[in-house]
Amino acid sequence: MESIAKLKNINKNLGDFSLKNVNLQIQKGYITGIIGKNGAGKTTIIKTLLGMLQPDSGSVSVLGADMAADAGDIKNSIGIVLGNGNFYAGLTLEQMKNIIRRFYKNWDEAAYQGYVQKFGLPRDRKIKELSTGMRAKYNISLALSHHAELVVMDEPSSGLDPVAREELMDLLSEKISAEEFTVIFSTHITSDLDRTADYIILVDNGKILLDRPKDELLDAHRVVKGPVSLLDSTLMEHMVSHKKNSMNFEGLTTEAAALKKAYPGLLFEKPAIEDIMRFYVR
Amino acid sequence: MHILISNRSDTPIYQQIVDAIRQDIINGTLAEGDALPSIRMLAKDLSVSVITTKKAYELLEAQGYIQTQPQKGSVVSRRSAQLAKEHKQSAMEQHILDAIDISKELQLNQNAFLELVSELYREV
Repeated sequence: MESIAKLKNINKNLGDFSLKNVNLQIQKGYITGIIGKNGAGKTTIIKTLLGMLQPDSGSVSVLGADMAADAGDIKNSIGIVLGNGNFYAGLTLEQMKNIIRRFYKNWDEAAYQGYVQKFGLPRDRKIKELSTGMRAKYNISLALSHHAELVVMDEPSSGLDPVAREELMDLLSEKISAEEFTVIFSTHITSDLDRTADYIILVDNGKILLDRPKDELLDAHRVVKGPVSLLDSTLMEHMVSHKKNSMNFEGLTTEAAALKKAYPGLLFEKPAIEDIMRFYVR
Repeated sequence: MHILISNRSDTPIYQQIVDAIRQDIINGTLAEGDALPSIRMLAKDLSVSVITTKKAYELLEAQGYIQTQPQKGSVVSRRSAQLAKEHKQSAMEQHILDAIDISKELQLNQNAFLELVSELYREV
């Protein structure tokens, strides 16, 4: 395994929020999803990774370079999609693109025009007149048009409807099938990652809670459901966490096989990433 | 080659891929020397993660069904058909053992059990 980006012992105090000893290695050639609640620290981690935020302590390296020392050249190889993007809202899509393309040595106009076609972007419309979804697509088109080796996207899908989100995931999956390409993708819409993500990183309150291959994570856990009458202290000890109402309880376990034997009458289901997140972040 | 994936199934996705390819080998859809798609291509086509298809190919290789050469990719191995048959055979034997266990619970003797098997065999 070869890592393309590394965060080592990162601490960053931002007043009411802090990153606490964050260690991460992003694997080259794969899609890594960073998930967590709003305010968990996903954006702070991404900005630290991109050198946009200086950590109080620890080191950041991306594509083999120390981000604190020589970030300039490296940025040619990174595609970035951040929030709403940093655009002059009064310019048209075409005008803004012509400014941005000058920053990149490997700008590929044909690739960009391909995305404009694919997404049906209105070239001569002003950026401020775009819908949230169109703006997201414009962002993504710009990030993918300069032969980046690494694409970092912070909540790229939040303004997109389910059909457009699926299109985006298919597009990323097509890109990593065809060339050496790495994606880091943060989202609170975990269903985007259920199918094609390779690695899942769960962030909560500035800390990394989980960092595992997605399949391994889903295969290791089961959602367990049953009547509250069966919920005793032993059962609770064997769940990551649980919730209950007057009739039933629902929890997450890594010991489904043992529980199946000890408690006949429980129901077990394969989790989605959302289930993992809601029971670990409690 | 035909693979259909269920994200809801209890069977891990890599295992579903292994099972599907093994089935294709048993029924002859895949034969010795046939090339498999690359792990990245297959991941894209099945809408699964690259790690998933990688793990499936590693298992198939470890079990001798396929051979992977750098640059050239993965091909179905010479012993694959035999191996797939043996796998099916041992799965059948396991089912028979399970049936014998149940017959003992029911206190059926060997002759009664075999008679039942013959009778059912004729019916199918």
